[in-house]
Amino acid sequence: MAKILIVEDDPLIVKIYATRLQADGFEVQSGQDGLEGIAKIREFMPDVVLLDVMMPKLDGFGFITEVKKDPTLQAIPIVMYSNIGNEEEIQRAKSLGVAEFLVKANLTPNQVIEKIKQYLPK
Amino acid sequence: MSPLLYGLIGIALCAAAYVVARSVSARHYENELKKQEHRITQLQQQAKTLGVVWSIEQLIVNTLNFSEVGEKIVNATILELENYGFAASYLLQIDTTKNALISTATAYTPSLHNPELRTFFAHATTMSLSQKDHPFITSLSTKQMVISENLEQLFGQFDAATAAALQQTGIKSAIAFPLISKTMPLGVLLFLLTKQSTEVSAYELTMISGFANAVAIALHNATLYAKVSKTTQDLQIANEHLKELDRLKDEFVSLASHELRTPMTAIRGSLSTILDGYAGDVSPQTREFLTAAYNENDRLIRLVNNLLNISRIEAGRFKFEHNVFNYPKMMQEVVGNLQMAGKEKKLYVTYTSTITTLQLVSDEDKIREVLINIIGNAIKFTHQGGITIADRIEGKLLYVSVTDTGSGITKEDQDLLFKKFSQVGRDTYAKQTGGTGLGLYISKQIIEGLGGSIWLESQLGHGSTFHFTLPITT
Repeated sequence: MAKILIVEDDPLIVKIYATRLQADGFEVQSGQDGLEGIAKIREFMPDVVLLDVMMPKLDGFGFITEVKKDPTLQAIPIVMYSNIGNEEEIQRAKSLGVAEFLVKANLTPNQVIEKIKQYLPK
Repeated sequence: MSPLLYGLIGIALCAAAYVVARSVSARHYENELKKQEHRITQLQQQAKTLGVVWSIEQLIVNTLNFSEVGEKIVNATILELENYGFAASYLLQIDTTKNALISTATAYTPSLHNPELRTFFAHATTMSLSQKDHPFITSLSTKQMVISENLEQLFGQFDAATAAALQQTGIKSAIAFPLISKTMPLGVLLFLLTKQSTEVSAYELTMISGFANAVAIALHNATLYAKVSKTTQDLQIANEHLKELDRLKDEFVSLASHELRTPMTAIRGSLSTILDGYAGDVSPQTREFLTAAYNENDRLIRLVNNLLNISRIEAGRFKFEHNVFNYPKMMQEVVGNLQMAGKEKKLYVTYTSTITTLQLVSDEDKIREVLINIIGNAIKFTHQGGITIADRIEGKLLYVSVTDTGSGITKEDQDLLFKKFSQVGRDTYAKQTGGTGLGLYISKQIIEGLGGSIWLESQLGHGSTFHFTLPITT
């Protein structure tokens, strides 16, 4: 069973994606800020991470920076999504090596999940 | 008498005549020499006058700021005229806002050392323009200089101390020269002299007259300069203010759109999770209301997206992100979403395509926005029938068209359609349908930015077709 980690501070958004992904047969865990996300990714070793940008304690960019430093984690694809999605964010995310950067307002949850599935092992 | 005697007398006479002639001619030469010397002095003085006036003009030409130039002028004049008994020089300027003649610059020779006397003259040289019988004010209209020994008439009653101090400095007379540029009186150039008015030479008057003309020009220029620099300054301030407002607006739009989009995407996520059946069965009636809520929320998201786009376009921060994407899949998704909105209005939304595979290198998110805007508009302005979406590939171009069975658009309105904030029939129709009129303007910016073109075919009463093209780069 493929494993997905959601790192997101809004519990409603976590619930929406967790409900859908679990119904589709995925194993889902979540962290509510970047620091918790780091702890979870080490312990859970997911196949893909769905990552928010703005979070307390450690934001999405901080999370990626940490993950990319760790050779055991750096290959895990990260799908980042944001409610801002301006030029600076996109460039920064790309330079840090995200697999995909999505703007929440442009996509439905179904479409986001479609994007996540692209990075799962076939 | 012997011829010898005659001869001697003759010689003596000649000698006498010679001596007389010599002395006469010597006196003549002496006079001539004096005359020449006098002329030379005169010429030298004239040259000096011209030189001084010229140097003052240079001063004026090179300094536009009059508060500076005023000081320089009074200093230069007094420096030149000091040896002729000129003890002080004042520049009095007309201040129209205060309706007064005001002393703006002063220069003294050391002879006017008494500070109380200086204070006295500083006060006495400032007066209201309504004092029409004051010689200074009169000189402005008569354009004649005032040269007078009646100092009390010019400066008011002296008390004992002032009179004594004045006595000590030896100030005997004053000259006031009106400063007039073209026909406009600007002020008065005033001098205090340690000699009688009758002792003022033509040379001195020429010099003062030269100064006065130069100062009048300077004053006039300075007034113009002040106006220009005030306007420039005002414009600069206004410009800075606008820049700041612009920055604040950008910041606000960014913040507001984030704050607005966060709850709106959460609403969309929740509603779609229910509608997609992840939260249990949904009765048809519940589905109908939830679908309506979902569509209305999507409209809000589109509106905020458009406002954000506009703000980015205006700030020159509208950038494209190219990536490889599956075109048919994107079309299916976009149309699928909008079919819900069509269903609500009982309109068909159909997409038939022969393109089964096409990997496009372009900005997927922005193309989605264009499609959502065009198809969304078609749904909004169509009340019967529906919307047909079609596409085809021709050479290196992808053609997409969106045809509706709406009311159509007149030729004149078609030209306005892609402009910012324009909505056809704004007064009546737009009120019922809502919207900001930004969608097509943004769509045009996006399509043209991606190297395509966008246009419209329509006839009033026969629906509309929006077309756009995109270059195929794989």
